[in-house]
Amino acid sequence: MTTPTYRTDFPQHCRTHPIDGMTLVFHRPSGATHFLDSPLPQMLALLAAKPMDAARLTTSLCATLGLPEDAEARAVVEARLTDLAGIGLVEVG
Amino acid sequence: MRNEDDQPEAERPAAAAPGEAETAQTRRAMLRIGALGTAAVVTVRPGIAHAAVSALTCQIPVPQSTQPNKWIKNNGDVVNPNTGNSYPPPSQPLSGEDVKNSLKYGTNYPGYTSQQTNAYNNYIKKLTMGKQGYTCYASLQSPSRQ
Repeated sequence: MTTPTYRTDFPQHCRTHPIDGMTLVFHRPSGATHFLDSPLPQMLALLAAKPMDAARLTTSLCATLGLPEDAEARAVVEARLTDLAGIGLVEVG
Repeated sequence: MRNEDDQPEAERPAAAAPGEAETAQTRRAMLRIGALGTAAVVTVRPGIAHAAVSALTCQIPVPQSTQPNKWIKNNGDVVNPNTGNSYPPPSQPLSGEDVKNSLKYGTNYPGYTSQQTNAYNNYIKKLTMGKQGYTCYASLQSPSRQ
């Protein structure tokens, strides 16, 4: 079984604006506007720099945020990746 | 008494540390399973987002700009000039505000008869995705604009 790799072209095709600790994103291709709470903008930034799978993203994200990496963080990252893929900001494969 | 006066100053350096700790705690919290209970993505539906900025300023051309010299029949069809029960199109695209008022309150478009207004409205109601004015018409119907 291969682990899916996630990629994003964020912030291309997007207009972003920080607002009240959240990030407001207008995604041109879908015409939809999203409010993203942390850590989604951080996840997108890491994926934009380099496509990776959930495990690597968890490691990078925890390193970026200065947090210890654990199974819980990994589960959250996986769930959030599903959210991001659902709205088309992240591509799987 | 003196202690009370001193307290704020004494607390100030200490207050900075909990502030930083709180930030780390907040970061940690968003990577906890509990964080999954709250939505990290809130999506604004395109119709509403569009309506908020442009419902009242958008325009609907009647008919499409690719259909010059066509008239509008009372059922909304685009027909050749002088077809029975048809009317010349409006000289200008209809404004979103006028369309909203006409559809909601039955007002006539400025300078046009009630028959013409009905024909234009029937035309607008038949607009489909991809036609000029469709997005404007759709945004007028989103709940926030009622």
